[in-house]
Amino acid sequence: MAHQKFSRRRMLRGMLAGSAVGLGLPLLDIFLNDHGDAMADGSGLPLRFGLWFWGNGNIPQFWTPTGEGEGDAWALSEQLEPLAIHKSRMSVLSGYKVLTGNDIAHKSGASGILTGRKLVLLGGENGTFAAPSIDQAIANHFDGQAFHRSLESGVYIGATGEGTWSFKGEHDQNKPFNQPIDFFTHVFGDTFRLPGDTEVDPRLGLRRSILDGVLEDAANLERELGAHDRQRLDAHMTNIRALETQLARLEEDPPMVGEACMQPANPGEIAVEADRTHFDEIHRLMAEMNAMALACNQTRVVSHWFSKSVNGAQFPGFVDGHHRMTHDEAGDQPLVNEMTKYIMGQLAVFVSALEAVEEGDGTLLDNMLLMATTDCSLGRQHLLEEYPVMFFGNACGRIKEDCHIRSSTLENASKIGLTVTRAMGMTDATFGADAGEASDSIGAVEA
Amino acid sequence: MVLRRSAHAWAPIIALALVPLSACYGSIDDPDVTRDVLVAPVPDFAPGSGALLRLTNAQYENSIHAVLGEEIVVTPNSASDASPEGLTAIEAGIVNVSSRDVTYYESTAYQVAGQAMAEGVRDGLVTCTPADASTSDTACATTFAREMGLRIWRRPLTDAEVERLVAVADEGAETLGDFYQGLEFILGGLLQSPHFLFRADIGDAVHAENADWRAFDGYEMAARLSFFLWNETPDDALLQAAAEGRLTSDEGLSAELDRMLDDPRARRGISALFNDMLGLELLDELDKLPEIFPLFTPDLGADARTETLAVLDELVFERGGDYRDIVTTRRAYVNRRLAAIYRLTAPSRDGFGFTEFPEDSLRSGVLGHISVLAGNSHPDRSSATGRGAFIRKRLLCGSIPAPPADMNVALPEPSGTAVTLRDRVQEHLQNPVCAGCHILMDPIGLSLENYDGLGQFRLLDNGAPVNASGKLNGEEFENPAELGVLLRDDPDLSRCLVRTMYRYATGTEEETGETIVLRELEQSFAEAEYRVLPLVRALVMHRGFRSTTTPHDEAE
Repeated sequence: MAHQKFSRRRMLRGMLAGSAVGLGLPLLDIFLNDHGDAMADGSGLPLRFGLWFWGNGNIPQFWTPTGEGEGDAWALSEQLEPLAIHKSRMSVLSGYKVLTGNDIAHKSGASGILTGRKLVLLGGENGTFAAPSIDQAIANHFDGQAFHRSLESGVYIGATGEGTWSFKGEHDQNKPFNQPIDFFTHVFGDTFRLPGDTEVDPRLGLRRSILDGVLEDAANLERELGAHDRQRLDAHMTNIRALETQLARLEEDPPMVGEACMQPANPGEIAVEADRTHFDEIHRLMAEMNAMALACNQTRVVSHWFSKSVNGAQFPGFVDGHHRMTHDEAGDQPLVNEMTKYIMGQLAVFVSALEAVEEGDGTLLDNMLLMATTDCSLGRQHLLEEYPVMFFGNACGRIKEDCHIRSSTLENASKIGLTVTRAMGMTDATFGADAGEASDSIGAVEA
Repeated sequence: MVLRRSAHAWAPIIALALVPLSACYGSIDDPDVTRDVLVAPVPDFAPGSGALLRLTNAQYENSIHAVLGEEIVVTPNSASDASPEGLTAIEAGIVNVSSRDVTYYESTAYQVAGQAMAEGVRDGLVTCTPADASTSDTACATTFAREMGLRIWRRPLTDAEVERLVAVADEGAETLGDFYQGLEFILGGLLQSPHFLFRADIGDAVHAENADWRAFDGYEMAARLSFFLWNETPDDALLQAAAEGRLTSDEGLSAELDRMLDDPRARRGISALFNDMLGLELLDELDKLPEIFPLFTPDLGADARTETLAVLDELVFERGGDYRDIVTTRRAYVNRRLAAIYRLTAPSRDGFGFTEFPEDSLRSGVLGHISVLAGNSHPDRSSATGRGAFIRKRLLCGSIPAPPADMNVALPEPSGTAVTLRDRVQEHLQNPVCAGCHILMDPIGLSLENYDGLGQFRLLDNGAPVNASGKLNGEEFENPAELGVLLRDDPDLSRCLVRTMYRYATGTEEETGETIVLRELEQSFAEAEYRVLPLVRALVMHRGFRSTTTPHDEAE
């Protein structure tokens, strides 16, 4: 297939046959109440969560913003400058430290910031998460409220899931889609329906009956297994039941969706460019599809794994690979600095895609919290202090935007996790465990 | 308690209890690795407790093709199950099925069912004719469910299981007005069931020797045989052998084993073993900086894998050769792209062909293959530690702990006094914190520095001559060809194949009671002059492969 440039305009032009809607017209204003801030059926605009992850850390001295506090009291650093257009939407948390140990470079940091727990060690450099990663903890909380429990996408990650960290529990990883066409098919393929689409596939009920039988098979098999394998089969059955629920939903009238919801065009296969700019295109497509998935209430939780831990990615315009340079570049690491700025520029693209979704009086970012982080701070030493975390959006008014909150006492980075879960309405008293357990959130960033 | 360094992964690791797991230990004065194995008496045989193994992506696809026909198009699972650490065969018993996988299994089941029940194709699969093809036919659907069920679930279905599937098929046929669309749901149910997707080591037969143990029954043996030897579901002949009780007797098992090893599918099965053992699936993601390696192309990783597997296939099946030649053979299997990197004449214009590295080449077995050299290097340069770690872990079954995370491991830039990679990584062997582990990797990897990050030969590294000498097991070598000879003689090389093959075939790490199985297989291997197929034979016939026991957590 010939490579085509897919601009955002072109992407949004695609829509279901029969729905005559022009670009820019609110598709489903009629579903909002008179105030435009709630669905016509009385439910509030849904709260969402996003996680944006990049591998290999940053350089704290060029990262940490100057000044502390709100608005004009703080200023972006060199590495954060690419996010300037989003300053009013972002808050930066600096000075926090992951306290759960550094057994395995990159992996321990990811485990610490995303679960507040020590990495489970499996021998050699192998490890798994002891508990759900924060995106999955939140997905548990929102379970059942949208078609997809969560969605995972990524760019510089490969197909094995290695170096990405969406985990439902031990040995239970969600491998992100790294090809736009696969993500599109998963989210906007056969299972995507808009209000007004009332045709029901007669095979759905039959497929559900078959799944009932599959569950029976699993229950029969379980009886003969040991406890560990019963658990694995239980997890499988949970996924089967979730699929059954999805099929049942497809037999009902499509639910409410936000006013900006449209079905995007199929991005097709992305041709590899010698200058590697196709990765930027993959990222932009993923960003737009994530935004549209949220706008269409297909999920409440997304995670985007821009680059995996230990990735040796050669970003467009750079000759050297990221990970090796974090270790081998001497002194102030000017190349790593530029690579980090490139990554932040890509984060800005993702945030822009979210900001472009109009909802109620504002945008998707007003009903969402996007958490951006990585697997260490200074990549050269896999440092766990000065851990970089950013928030975008205000989570329905619960989180302050345009702040720099700094801990000068190496406070537990799990406080960030607790702040996030509380913003999502979860009532957990703590985040993390043992050395990583936090029972206080960060009041300064809570509205 | 005397601390002994050991490169054996399975030596009783008493010493490690005294040392933090993340640290390595070792004297830097004597860089030889003394390989004293702390010899403890080998425990009596006891079977392992088995695992619940999910079909790998390859096994899943192969099995669908085996049952429904080669022309069926199976969309590959876009989530790869290649494992960067350890064997995919073992991960299959550990990793949970994700919701993405469940969605894939559902949509794929109906995609292949639709193809299988299309006009023309279905005649080969449906052995009866419905009275009226525009509605249900319970009798014919029942026949179909039994026949397909036996093949897909690898055992006869119970009446209840058949009835349940047929009920949906009947409803489907009536709702959709098409008998054959109804049958699609039988296939849908069979292909999504855990009875297809998983193999459970239950041991449904009584064990002749010990009441606490269990024997695998005929159908379980059929599955174990076919997934090990063919990487796919049992064929009809094997299922028939199971039904007739032949797979639980020595004579019957041996006869089927012979048939299966003679079958072309065995070549694919043994290739799958080496693919997993050497981590070659990861080559799909091989990435090199084109500015530095203009000969790199996106297909190179896959080509390199094809080469290494073909050389090993030839060694095992065509030459019936000594496995240890894996580190000394000069055989190569190249297309024009690989030939250009190797600076060989391509044996054919298009596609692949066998050839040999010249007599004076230093490429020694897989140590000289692009799969190993490029596959274990950085995108922009070679990695002595990476290649050394690969050889130590994958070929010698050594275990190497993770490096300390907070250590500054910056490689000094080439300078006046430190020009080559060997110079620049000296710290690894001179710093006591590093040396204990790096002694297991760097001397091996540094011998391969005549090959750059892509595997191309070079005499110079940054303008200075490469020094490829070193020491292994107390013996000196001057170049990778001499290293290959030393590796060939290292008992760990052959023992590692035994252990890896056993783990691969059983899908688990061996338990204490299975140590003796490995010892006995090592013995058989040596007696067979290290030929692979006799080892496969010995493994399959061994009670270790044919027995199991209750899972430990159930024993309470």
